[in-house]
Amino acid sequence: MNKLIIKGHEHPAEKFLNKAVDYFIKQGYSVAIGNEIETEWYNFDLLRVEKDHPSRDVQDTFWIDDKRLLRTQTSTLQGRVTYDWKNKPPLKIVSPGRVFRNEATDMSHEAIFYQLEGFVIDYNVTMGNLISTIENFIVEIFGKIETKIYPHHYPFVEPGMDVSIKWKGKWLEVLGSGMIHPEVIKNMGYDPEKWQGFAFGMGIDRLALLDTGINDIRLLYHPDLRMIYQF
Amino acid sequence: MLLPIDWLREFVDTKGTIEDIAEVYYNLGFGVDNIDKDKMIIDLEITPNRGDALSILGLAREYAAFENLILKKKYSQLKKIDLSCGIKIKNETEDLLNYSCAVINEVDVRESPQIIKDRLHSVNIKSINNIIDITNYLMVENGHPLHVFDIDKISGEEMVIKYSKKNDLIKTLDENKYILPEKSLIARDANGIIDLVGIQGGFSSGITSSTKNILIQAINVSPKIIRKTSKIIGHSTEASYRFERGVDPLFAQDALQDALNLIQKLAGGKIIKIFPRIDNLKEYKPTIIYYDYSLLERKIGVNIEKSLQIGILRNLGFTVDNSKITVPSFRANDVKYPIDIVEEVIRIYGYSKIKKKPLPIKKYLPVKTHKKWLYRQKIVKSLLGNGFSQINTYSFLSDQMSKQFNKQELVKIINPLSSENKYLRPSLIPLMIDAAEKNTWANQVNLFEIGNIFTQKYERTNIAIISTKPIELLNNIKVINKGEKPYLTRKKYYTWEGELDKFTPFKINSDIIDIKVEKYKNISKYPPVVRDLAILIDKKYQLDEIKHNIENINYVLVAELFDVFNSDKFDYSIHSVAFRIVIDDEKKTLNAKKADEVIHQISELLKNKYKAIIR
Repeated sequence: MNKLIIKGHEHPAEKFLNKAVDYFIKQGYSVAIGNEIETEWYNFDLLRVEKDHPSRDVQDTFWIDDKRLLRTQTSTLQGRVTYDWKNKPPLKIVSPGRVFRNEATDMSHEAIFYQLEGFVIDYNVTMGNLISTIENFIVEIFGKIETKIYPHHYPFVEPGMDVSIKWKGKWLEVLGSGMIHPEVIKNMGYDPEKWQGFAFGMGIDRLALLDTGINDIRLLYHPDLRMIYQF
Repeated sequence: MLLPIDWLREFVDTKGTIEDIAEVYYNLGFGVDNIDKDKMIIDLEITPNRGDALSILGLAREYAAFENLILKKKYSQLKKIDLSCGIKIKNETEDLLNYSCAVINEVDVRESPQIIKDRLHSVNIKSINNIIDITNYLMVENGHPLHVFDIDKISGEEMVIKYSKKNDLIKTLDENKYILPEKSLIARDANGIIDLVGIQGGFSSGITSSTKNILIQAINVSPKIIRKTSKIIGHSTEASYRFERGVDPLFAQDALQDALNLIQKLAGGKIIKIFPRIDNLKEYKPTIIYYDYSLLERKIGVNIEKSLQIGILRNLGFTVDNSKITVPSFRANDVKYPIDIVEEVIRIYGYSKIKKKPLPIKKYLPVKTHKKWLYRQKIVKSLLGNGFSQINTYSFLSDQMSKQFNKQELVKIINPLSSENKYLRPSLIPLMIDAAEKNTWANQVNLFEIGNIFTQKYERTNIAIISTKPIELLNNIKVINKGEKPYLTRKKYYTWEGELDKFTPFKINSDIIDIKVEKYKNISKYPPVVRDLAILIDKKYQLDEIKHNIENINYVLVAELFDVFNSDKFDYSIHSVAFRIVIDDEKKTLNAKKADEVIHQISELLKNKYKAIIR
């Protein structure tokens, strides 16, 4: 008797994430992986999310002690790659990873989810480059689909923008991005007069749900093999 | 922020439909949460940097700037009326940005007219009486909070604005009592605290139906001190929400004038004193930015002529004298850097007008973790290629699961989702076992997870495997016997866990079966019924097609291929194929009879179409 091996099922969100990361690797991006326990400095202060400002309230945080938390965003790698690991610009980075928000959970919200962050810092990187990068990525992942960009405020970018796609007749916000704020470049340890760049971030789980049709985000972290078997 | 269109139209002539108006706000940077076409109200998302947009006036200003229109409403100068009325206002703090107040005698406190009640209702504010309603109405309209005292209930001749001492007590208008931390902003009369400044007024001097004489104040305070107090006592109001985000430091006098006009109209009374300002206010220093007009092209990649940039900025209320740009007081909290000026220009000019330009192809140096990622992917492929399926589990461990670990070594969350999620997982195994036990209908599991684990000493990426059959490719397998403590499982499991960095990927055989998947079907709330079906079938039939046809049958969620083998016992052209049929119904768990029918249907399909022999 010779038994054949049947390939295992890949987790749908991981599969989607890999597709996205692979795309960026082909564009010359390098993958930065950071820790899930982060410090307030890298998660907030370096990124201009001040302690005594209401923008802190936008992301509900899990705290471990008064300086450490579970990272609320993978933008933490902006400071880690530059200030901590001392990589000098020019840089082209993507960073996938788990992030945590202290929010009530339901079919479309979990306290844990995957984000994919990306950032480019060079001499002449402009918003025109950012928009081109985002739109090419969307075509790659979703095919030809209507997209819209609107201004939106995030403390770590200026100008900031949101990108929406038209999905099954409805406009859905899928990505936040913008030009890295000069003060953030300074916090990284570099001269904002010399270096400029853009950054973008997206919630991978939400996109994976759109792509696959899974209706409950919680299934991604509370496995039901009925879901796993279908991938 | 709810924006009733008819209220907006008092300030600016809008163009087009409510959807057109909403689109303008999208383009300005305010997300549209909802459009109510019946009530003609738009619900806008106002980001924390735009305290100036928390009012009809602020939003009208933005609309006018975008559409190149002029605001319809003008504010008149506040006259100072200097008659003696016995009350003195003193400020002993450094956090008062502006202060303006007036005393009105013989007001008629009664119900508000219908239009005021309707407007307040449309923005979800309760109507109480004309005086209180006016303060709320004007706060929504022009963004400046107001507070009114019953002046006859203020004891003594002086109201002093000062910092609280630790444990000072106040009973606020909503009848709650708050113990204050030190250095909160309060107002005191001869008897006690009458106002939690910037947050809420005191109960003792609140307006009632028998109030005759009032003191109305427009006070502006520094955002940070309001936020601090509000967070510590756990209380916030429409007023404190606005102060935290920044209220126009030059507007108090206009706000008061507006209030006096409306009070006279709706409640009558005689204005006997106006304090346009008081002493000891924090001086307002306008923000001046020296701006290089070429910065915009450098950052955005589009050329906008200097004259056009200047036109846009002036429309937005900026004073422009060549490169010297003075930020209007209502944007002082938001616009501070030259890059903020770039943003102001480009958002009005239009993001859609920015030409896309691909990044040039250039080599960038990889970071140290790049190899880690590639290695991780190699490991995932090797596990999939050896029949293991990937899952992800929660990072939090429940109290119950954490009992088996040394509490001293666990990382604890100070503010967990619930007591069930207090600890971070020091191992992937407990939650993987939990997952396996929740899926016992699957009969067999062969799963892996890659994820981070946490102890007091380190955070690390681990890989763990759990299977109902022995894991032949690894040593040091930990067996978890049925019913064994601490897991008390219903099945026996073979497990393994180790560091991802130190894991050697398994070899992948070239002839693994990679079957095509169908479109995802959502799963039922109810447990499935599972039946295994094993057949002997000619190898010429594609397994993808067979699976596809089985899954087309009603109630079949998925046909999981789990066993394929050749044997000397049957012809070379034939192999044994086994499917685990997962029968799912969103309304309930199907009964045995119904499940049998489904299996029968499948068997007939296999026999007729594929000449299969059911084993």
